[in-house]
Amino acid sequence: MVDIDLRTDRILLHYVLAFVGLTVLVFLESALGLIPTFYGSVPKVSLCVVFLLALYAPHVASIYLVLAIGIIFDTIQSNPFGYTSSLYLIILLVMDWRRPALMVADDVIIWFEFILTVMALTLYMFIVFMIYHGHWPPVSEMIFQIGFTAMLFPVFNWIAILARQFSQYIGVVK
Amino acid sequence: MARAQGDRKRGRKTTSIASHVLIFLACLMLMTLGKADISAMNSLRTVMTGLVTPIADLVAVPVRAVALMVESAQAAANLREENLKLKEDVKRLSRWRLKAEILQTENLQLRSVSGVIVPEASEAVSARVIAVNADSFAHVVMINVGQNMGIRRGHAVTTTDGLVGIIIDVGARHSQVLLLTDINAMIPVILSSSSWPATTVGLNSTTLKLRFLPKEAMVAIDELVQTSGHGGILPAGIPVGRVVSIKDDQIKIKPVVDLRRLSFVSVLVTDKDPVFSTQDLLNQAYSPLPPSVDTFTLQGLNAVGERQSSDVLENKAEEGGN
Repeated sequence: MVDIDLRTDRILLHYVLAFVGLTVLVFLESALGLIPTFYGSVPKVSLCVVFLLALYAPHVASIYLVLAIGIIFDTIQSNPFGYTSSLYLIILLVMDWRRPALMVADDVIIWFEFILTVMALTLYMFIVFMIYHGHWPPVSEMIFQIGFTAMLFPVFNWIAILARQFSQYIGVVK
Repeated sequence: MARAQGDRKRGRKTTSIASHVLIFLACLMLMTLGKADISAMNSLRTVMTGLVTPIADLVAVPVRAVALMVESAQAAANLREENLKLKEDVKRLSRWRLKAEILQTENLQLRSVSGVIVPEASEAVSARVIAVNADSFAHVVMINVGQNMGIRRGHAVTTTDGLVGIIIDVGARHSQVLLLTDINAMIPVILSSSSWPATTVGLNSTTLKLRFLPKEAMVAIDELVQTSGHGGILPAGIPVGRVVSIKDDQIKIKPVVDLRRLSFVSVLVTDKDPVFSTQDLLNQAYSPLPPSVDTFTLQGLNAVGERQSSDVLENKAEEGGN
């Protein structure tokens, strides 16, 4: 397991950093829609980050943080309030259950589990869309979005590992 | 001792799962409230959108620059091909220009004799697109003008190519535009060649579906579909899209505006409130001319099929007489 220096000021700093980082990320994710290729199906990079945060820094990946970030994203995107937060919450729930196994697993296994998680999320998104709009969702767009997200995950995982090594180097993580 | 520690750990885990589930249920509740269209929720959304707009505008700057770079690189790669296509287009457009000039003259002559009332002038307000839909859940974009520029709900949003959507939410300095591709967008249209009325319905995709088209209507591929002006919200004659496929009564329309490349739009601002109230609609009594005295007609029925009281009809008749 990750051994974190749990001094109160450090924890607060971690919370603030996580909140600011995730806020900037959701704004960037939203702005990616300006690139014609990603119109209506921007890769959900925030899912990768929440997954990795719940895996490597569970002390900051709190339900209140993801609730706030999700609501910010829903505000920018005119999604129903709570939609994105519920996606993040599902990830946190899954990670609560799978973290002990994944902490000692290979990167490929982590990637595989992420793909399984986003597949479950896609199913959830399909159901919510159908209940909310009473209509079949745009399947190709959703698959493109989720597929691209799954492909990007190893990049984010690699960045997370580098960040952890850097944190260990500067002494934030033992 | 060890057992007590285990119990405590198990207790903490149960509390954690319970709080997760509780917040998850709260999210579902929020979504349900959003669907219920409660005015407090709408006001809250307007206020929150107003708060996030400046940040979204700021963060979009580098992304817009990247998008421009990507587009420039693509354009450079297709330069030769595009040049040939443009030459073809110039030839074709020259022929069309000639035809248009002839038709314009004819149109002016016809107007002078038919007494067509030109629709009320609307003022075009230019706006920059701040945030585009990144999700397939809702096709809505945010623009950087609001009440400060006289924008109101129901105003049409266009580009030089045609219709983009309508304003659905207005803040002090921002507005939200429901794109015509959104699943909730239904635009009354007519087929340009035959004037048959229909309605376009969004699919949260890049195409639209044509519905409520009379069975006897003939549709051709590449036919232009334009707003009909029915319902009084959108002005008539704005190009909406072109027919791209006709398959098993399913007619698909591709919007004339490339919604993936929206950067600037024009909002057609009118003095008249474009949003129709239900009461206005109910007060409209349809009175087709009866062919004979004892024939059953729809006289006195309003838009929802309710019979109007006689005094409403008399007032209408008096207004007609005046």
